[in-house]
Amino acid sequence: MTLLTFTRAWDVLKVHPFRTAEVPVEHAVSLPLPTTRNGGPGFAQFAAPCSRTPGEAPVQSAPDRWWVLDAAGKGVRLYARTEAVPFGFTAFERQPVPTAAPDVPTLVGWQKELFAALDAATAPFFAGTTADPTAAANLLAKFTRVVPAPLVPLYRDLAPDFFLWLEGAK
Amino acid sequence: MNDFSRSDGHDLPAPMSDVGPADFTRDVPYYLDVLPESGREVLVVGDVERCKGLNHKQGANLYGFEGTCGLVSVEDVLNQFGKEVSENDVVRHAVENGRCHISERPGDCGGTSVSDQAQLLSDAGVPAHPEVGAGFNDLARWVAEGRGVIVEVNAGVLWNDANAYDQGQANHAITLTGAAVDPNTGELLGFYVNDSGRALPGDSGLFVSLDRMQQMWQDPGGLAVVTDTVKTFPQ
Repeated sequence: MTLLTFTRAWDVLKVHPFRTAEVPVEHAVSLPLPTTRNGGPGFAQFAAPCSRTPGEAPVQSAPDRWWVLDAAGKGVRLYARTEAVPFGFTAFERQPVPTAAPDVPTLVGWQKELFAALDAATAPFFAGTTADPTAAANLLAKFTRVVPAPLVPLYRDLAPDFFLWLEGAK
Repeated sequence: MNDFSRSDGHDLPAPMSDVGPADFTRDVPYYLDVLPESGREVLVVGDVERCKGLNHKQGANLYGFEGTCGLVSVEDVLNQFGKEVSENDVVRHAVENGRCHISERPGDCGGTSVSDQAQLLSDAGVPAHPEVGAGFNDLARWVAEGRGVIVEVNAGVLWNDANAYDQGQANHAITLTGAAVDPNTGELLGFYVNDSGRALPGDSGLFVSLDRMQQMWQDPGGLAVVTDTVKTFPQ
């Protein structure tokens, strides 16, 4: 069974019919993270209302919806509003979520490095292979460089098994 | 409810009779101009100058909604088709018909999905549909045919602002108003857009190069809303 890579899953999700039908364009959308939390290999993603003022940090509210794409190409495994089916229990207050990147090209470069690391990690994670400690540490470092600090607990709630796998590498 | 009505309670006119299926006999305006940065002469296809007057900073509504780039883009396209609606008219119709995001905090409200934008245009008598994975040639063709076009872009690339980049996905809606081509070879050089996200005068009829358009629109998926019918242009 061939499973989607992170990059392929992200490309699918950007234009998926449920995204164009259900998710406001203005919402902030998280990176899709690999997880098996919903009965099989998939990629989970959340979206949140977000207010953007040019030149200022975006102000993001708590996620109001989330979904899981089947990594085997069987479509969307789950789509839910968080008020009906929460994906975690982190109490997230509306707050600025500034990026650490000084400019767009820098952020794009950081994301490319993170995306490559996620591509490399996805297959062994789904296979249940023990994570390579060095690769796992590098991935976590790249992740926390790209993702604004206030959002990290939400990602941990979204794909807890993936973070356990990364942090369990020894 | 399948029509728009104005804030003053008067219904808008019925869908315009001169809006018909797309064909190539319509007189889409074109004229020679010079690109601001390079000084290169270009042929501008589309009613870019007139459309500049349709753009304004989003948030001009009585609801206090600020996330209204999609709704303002709908307003822009409707006015391109001769339908005199305000942002407030469009917001009110979206609220009454469940066609925008609403939450407790007004500043977060007004967001629309691509399908919402198409439905709102259709509700007002300008049938439209979402497009996914479109390319530059599609955009140029739609402009040349006189269609109304909303493109879903990444605001971080558009504004050169890392804080608005998020994860690189489409997170902002703007209106396509024209295309720039080389007058001698016909080579496509870029597009003109109306952006309601900032208050800058240059954001009305803003020229966007193909490189930038690639990063801000095509890489995030080439998402657009395109009218099924075409505009009629003043002679």
